[in-house]
Amino acid sequence: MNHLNPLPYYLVLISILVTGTGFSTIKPTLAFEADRAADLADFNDASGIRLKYPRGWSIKRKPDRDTLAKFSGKPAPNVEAEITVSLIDDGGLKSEDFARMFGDLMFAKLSGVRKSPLQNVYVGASGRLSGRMQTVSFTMHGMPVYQEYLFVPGRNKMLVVALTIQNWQRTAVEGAWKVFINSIDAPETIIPPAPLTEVAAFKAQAIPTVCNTYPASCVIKRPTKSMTLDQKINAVLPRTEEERFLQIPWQTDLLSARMQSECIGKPMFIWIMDGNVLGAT
Amino acid sequence: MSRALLNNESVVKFIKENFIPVSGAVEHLQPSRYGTAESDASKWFGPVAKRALKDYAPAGFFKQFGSYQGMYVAGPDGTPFEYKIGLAYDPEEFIEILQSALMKSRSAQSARAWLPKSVSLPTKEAPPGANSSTSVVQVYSRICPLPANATLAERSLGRDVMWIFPAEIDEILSVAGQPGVTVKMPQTLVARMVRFQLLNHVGNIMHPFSEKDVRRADFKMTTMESGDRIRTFAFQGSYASQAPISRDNDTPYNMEGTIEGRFSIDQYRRKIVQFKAFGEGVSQGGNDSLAKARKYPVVFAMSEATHASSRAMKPFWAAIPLWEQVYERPKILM
Repeated sequence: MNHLNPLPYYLVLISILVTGTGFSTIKPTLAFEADRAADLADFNDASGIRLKYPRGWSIKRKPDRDTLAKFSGKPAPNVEAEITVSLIDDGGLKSEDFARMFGDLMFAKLSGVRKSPLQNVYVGASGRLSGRMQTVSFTMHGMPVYQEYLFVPGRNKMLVVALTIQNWQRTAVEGAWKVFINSIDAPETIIPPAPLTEVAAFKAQAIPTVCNTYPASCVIKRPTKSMTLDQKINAVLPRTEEERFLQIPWQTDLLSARMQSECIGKPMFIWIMDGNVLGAT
Repeated sequence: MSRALLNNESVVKFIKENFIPVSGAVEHLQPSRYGTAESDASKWFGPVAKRALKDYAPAGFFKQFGSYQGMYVAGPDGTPFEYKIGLAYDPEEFIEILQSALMKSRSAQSARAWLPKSVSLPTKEAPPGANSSTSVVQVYSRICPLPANATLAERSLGRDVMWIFPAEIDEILSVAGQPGVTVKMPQTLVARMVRFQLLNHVGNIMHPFSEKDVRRADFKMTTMESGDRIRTFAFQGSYASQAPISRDNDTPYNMEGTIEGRFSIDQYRRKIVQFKAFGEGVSQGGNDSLAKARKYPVVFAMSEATHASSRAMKPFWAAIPLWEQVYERPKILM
């Protein structure tokens, strides 16, 4: 029911970002990249960092001191995403400490921030760039935002690739996100590759996703053909916890409510959406 | 989705105890957005909303989105004390936000002395909901089974109301035969269900289908019981609709399914007294930012409206001026 798409606003506010995709392996996405090679464009930075990105995405180079580029695209209709690639002085910090400090700075003023544990991954065109991934969620102005971060430690530098998107759109951007992180190529003078034996012994694990919204409504079992009509209907009808909002004595006449507010001395709580909020979702 | 926060017991309690709660619709309170006529309510609310957005929304938000939708805390003199766009807060955090707004309102109250007083009633506006002759059916929908890693929106419950008009009741009564006889359902009622009601309302609102989009709409009803006053019917329907690719709808956009149910009519009152139906179908596509261009299995339940709120509002698409007239007398061209 909410017809607003606040993502562009988030993208203005947040310089680094991505979604919690929770994919369990990284390398299979190279096939996607190969299949879509014609749709990919090359990004080459003066630092030596190179990667591929969907040709239709826009790119803004050097939007700030540490950010090599900011990529914006629409991986699906009505889905907007942003991926930033930054190369930041690591201050001598290990990945875990860097990620913690980075998060403290990024999310200090945001609500409901939840972060997954860091997960080891190997990414890049060679598959030998050792990194740590983390999913993050938070709310901004009451809207859920999901991010996914990749931290790749280099020589005195940390390569940070991040994507931001609204949670319900995350699957739409999964392919594009994998293209980014699986095409990274960096000179050994910046990011030394991991030993082949280390990569070969690595067993990928799922990247934990985090959710910044509390569990929604009931999950129902699909009614079966053997059920009676009433049983099928009852299976779909709202549970008590899905209709508590109706216990609120909503008024639909704003001016009458205003007068009541004045008489009683309580302010109004006004809830407005496209279509009356008591009716549609 | 948004309703999840307002289904939290603590939030409900806090709102009930501390506020005069009001629900409204953008198309009514922001007529400029839909090209509808101003009302006394919209004339009063417009400046309140503008000030709230200016004071509490992110800079440039209104310029970008142009909508008044959201939640407001405001005094009767129009002073806004809070505005929030979305509802994805933890309940405790949201109560803190409301508590802060409440404190601001109390400070303003004591400063300006908008104290409890006797005032004259404003002109009563015509209620936006169903008139007394219209039968109201509550429509619920869910995505079921849910996809893996279903989002909050996908797991939510779709809600809408469906109106059935006296002319359709008359038509049902006039064409219905003896018990056991099967006849076609009124075409306007069928068209309303197929084009406006049996849509995926869960998380991603589907736009209604046009009269040309309907590919199949085979609805039949059978008289089950025929008493002196109450007549009961069973019905079954099968439907399919597909919208053409367009600028606003650039992905596959279709819906098909079946529905079965029964309803009873009070012949004297020309009203539906009971309506029970179950439907299932598959939707593809959606038209707003919450939608994914994917297929969803959807189940529906319909039941006669019993809560006062169900009569207090229009069906979602009937509330949109573009569809308001069509909703009452929809057609199907096949």
